[in-house]
Amino acid sequence: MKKLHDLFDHNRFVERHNGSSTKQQATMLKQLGFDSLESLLDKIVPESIRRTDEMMLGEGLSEQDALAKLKGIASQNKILTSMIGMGYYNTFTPAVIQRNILENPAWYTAYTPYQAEISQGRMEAMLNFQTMIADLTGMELANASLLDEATACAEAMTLCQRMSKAKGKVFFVDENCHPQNIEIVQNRAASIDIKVVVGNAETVDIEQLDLFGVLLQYPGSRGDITDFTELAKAVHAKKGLVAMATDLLALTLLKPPAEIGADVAIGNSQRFGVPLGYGGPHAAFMATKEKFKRSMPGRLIGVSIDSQGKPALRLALQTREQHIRREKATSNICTAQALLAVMASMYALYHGEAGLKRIASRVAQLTQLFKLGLEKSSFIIMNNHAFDTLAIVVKDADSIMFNAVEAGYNFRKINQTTVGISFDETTKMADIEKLWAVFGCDELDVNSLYNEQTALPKNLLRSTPLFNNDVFERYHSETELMRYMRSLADKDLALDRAMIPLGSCTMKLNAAAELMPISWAEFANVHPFVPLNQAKGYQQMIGELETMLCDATGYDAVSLQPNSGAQGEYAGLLAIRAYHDSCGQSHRNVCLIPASAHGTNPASAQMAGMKVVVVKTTEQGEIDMADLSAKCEKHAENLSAIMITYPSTHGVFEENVTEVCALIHQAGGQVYIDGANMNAMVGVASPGKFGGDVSHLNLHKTFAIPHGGGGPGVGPIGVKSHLAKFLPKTPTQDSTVGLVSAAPWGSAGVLPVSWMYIAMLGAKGLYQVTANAILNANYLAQKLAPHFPILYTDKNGMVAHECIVDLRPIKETTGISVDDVAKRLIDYGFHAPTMSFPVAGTLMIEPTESESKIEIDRFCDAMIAIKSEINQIANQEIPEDQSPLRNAPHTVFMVTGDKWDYVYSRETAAFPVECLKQHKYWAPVSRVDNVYGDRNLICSCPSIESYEVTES
Amino acid sequence: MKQSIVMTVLGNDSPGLIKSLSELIVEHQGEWIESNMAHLVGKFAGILRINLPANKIDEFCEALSKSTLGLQVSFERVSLRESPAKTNTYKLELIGQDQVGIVNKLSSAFAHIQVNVEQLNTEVLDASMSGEHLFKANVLLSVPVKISEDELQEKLDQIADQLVLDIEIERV
Repeated sequence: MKKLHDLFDHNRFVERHNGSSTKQQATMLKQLGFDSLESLLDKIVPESIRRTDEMMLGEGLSEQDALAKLKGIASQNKILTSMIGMGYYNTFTPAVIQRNILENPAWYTAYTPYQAEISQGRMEAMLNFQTMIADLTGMELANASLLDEATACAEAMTLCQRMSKAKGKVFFVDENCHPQNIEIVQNRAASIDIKVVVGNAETVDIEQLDLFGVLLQYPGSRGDITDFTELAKAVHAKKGLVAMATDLLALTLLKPPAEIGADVAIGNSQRFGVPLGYGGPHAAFMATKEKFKRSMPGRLIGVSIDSQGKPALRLALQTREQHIRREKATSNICTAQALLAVMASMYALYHGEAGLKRIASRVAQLTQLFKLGLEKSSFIIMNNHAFDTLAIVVKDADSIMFNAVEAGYNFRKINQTTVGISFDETTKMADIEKLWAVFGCDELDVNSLYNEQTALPKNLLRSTPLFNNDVFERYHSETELMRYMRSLADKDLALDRAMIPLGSCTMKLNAAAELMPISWAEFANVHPFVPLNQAKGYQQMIGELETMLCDATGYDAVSLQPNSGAQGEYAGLLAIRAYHDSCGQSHRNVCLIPASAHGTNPASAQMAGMKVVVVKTTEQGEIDMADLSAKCEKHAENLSAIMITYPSTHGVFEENVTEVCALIHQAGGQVYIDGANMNAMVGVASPGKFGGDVSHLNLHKTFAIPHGGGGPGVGPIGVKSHLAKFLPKTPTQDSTVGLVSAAPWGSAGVLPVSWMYIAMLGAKGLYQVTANAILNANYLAQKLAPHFPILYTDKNGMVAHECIVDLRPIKETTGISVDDVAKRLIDYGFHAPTMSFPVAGTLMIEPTESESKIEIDRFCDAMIAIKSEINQIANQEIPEDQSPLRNAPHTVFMVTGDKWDYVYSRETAAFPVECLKQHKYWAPVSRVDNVYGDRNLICSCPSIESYEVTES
Repeated sequence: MKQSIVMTVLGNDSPGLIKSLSELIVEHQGEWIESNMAHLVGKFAGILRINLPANKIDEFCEALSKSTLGLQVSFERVSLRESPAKTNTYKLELIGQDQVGIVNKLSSAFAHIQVNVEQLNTEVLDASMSGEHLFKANVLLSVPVKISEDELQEKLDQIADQLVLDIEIERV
């Protein structure tokens, strides 16, 4: 029977996931001088940390079996109509968007648009998002995007503190904000010396507060729509700033926050066509005034020009961000919610102004109709004014909630005698009478009560048009929208076209079977605050994923709440802080961070209220043990933690990691191991076993969740048992740490991707994956080494799963920079490796296991060809400023234009290697001018005319 | 009588340069009071304050320009009695996109708001991830006490806007 068993598809998915066949692997191994993957790992992974036991994950399931198993789990979720509100609403994802964006690898496998020239399509969509947010909120500029509304509120608080001229330490929060918004704001404030006062915004005496800002919700969490104009004036009179959490659909009918006096508007764009997904991922937003632009957290798309003077987009004002400013950044945010922002923007394009207003008017009228009926039956509604939410006084909330569930609805229990109901895009006429029946009002009739009215306050109706740009009116026919989305995707280079060899980013395959379940209604249509017994499928899937991740990392407990890697870091540091507190060691607040750490590390430590002390790295790229000992000694009293990355950000398995961990533990500190490089360790070494107390993982790196062009990300943390009770709070586990993300399980909607990935690979498959990631990196490093110095290697000359190519000597002799090489790679059809991280003037290359030998060879050929172009400059055959490197990327307009002023041929420009003639990616713009864009900051869609003028 | 002079020197970097320079100063009965030196792409540049007997100054400068050190020299006499106006010192950290003439624009902007640059260290580096060319500067500013911290902040904000820089300020 065993033979028959082997004829089935168990443990076969690894052959789909890994790029190279066994034969190709053998060829690569041979070239490196090894006879097996095992002997390769023996040489590279230090014995002291090598995992000896196999993971408990069992055998890998076939795609079909895994899908069937997960479907069985998912079907335990009960899909009721959730009218819970609190920032999450049912919505219809237009099918054209679901198929062409959410389920299209051209969109979901793209990377964050740091390389502007190959990211014009998704940046245009994100610019549409920014335009939409700015127009709806009435603000001057908006970002794209933030992680969720609650953390956006916390970011708004710190922006207010940075920009307010008031010296106070108090941030006032209206009690009618969504509860999770209040909780996250309180949590963030606790670490950074801000005092949060929660109270009633309508009765508070602002004069009595020594404040720098306020947070209001408009419309309020319980449905009221308050005119905050006078309050805003009072706050401004005290030099404070006003942050307003708001709702995009309501704003299509209501006066924009800017007109009421808001300085910052934040919110969630989920109800613009993004599925609930049990809490996420959804794109939150922040919009503010132009004068606060440099204090804005998160990514901002801006309009600039390219080297030919044509309009081109790129990430603006990057010096605000953690990858440059580290602990002085405006926020630790890195990965955001790009894919979801793109979906929300397309929803606005699909519906246009009239469509959005029609949906909003329908919701408002249904709300009013329902309100009228209840009032006729002598119910008391707490809020006079309403857009979509009513707070209804009842005798016993529990019994109403029970009746509602019986009828197929979930309400919000506000307190024992009040329930909340929120209407949305999906509410039908038929629902109204069914809902009345839940309240015992069986005799009411929609036709007799309907009066075309809404409960919106007359003084707060919107008088300005929604959008000032006709991009929102151009794509209402599906044909036009489909082609627009295609034309944008065609401008970009994602994993569906070529390898994206970004070091530290692990751009591996996001398999179709892994992505399919996220569209299932059983996962997509679950509100984050449904009772646990309706989310049994989610709970089981989450529990199993937690167990899988514990096994893979050697930790004892996992929290899936953090919805980005940076959030995971923050959550991990909070756990460490809470642990020290529990041991009576609250004074421990020094966080050691090696100089080579990712920028999010110091930024997160800063957010967690820790003092960052930098530890030197040696010339070999390892942690400087002498400096570490000195710092440990110096800060012994106050040492809280060290944050290290393993394998190091230099891409090497450092021998001394156990020693580092021991040193910190001796000094009373905790060890945080950044899991960004976990792809080199799954099944081979476990951070929880070789000294880590806590790690975050990037499911969007190691565990196959796609990068989505800059999000979603998921950054769960794993901890040893002594930290388990300090994981973020969920409905199933209380914790003094509280919430770190708005939803209990963060971006639960994409967790099925990682579940599928692990289930299909199984223990053996995951081990093979790790081995191949290391094999590919070493093969690539060996191939490039004769042409470029490889910066860091271990004592045997080996790297881990990535390698750093040093371009500084080239810069010195030829003037050719990292930027030039990166842009020239575009002409060869590749996304550049990671630039100048962790060492300026270098490229960090991570091929991942998913790339085949053929693709790696193609990439190496491109790099080697580029080296010979560099040699031409070094040999003075061609001046640096006339070389194809400096003028790259070459667009089709440049190459086919009548004017050709370059000393090299058009063919050299466009087809430097033969295979490009078979398949060529053309960058839609030439090199983008960053300085121009930041000097002339434009962060919303330019009108069509502006394009025409420039092009003529 | 001793006279204080401030001098700048610029030339090719060579081993033992500072030693030779200090020997020359001693030979002319001078004292090395304070200095700031830097090496940049094989060049050596320095600004020094030295005290010399008044009658030795011309001799010293001539000796220096004729020496084998190969330094370009310029100097100005300063009165020992000159007492500067009362100032506060601020440490600034600037970062932004590198652009042509940035140091010039920056120093004119500082001059315009009537603050003194005491120290200016700059570098240009490649930004991680995006690869942009970044200009980074650490500045020590002395600011007349009549300009308050808030006022200075506002003026710096304007400079930050004009030059697209992030400026962090810290009172020393």
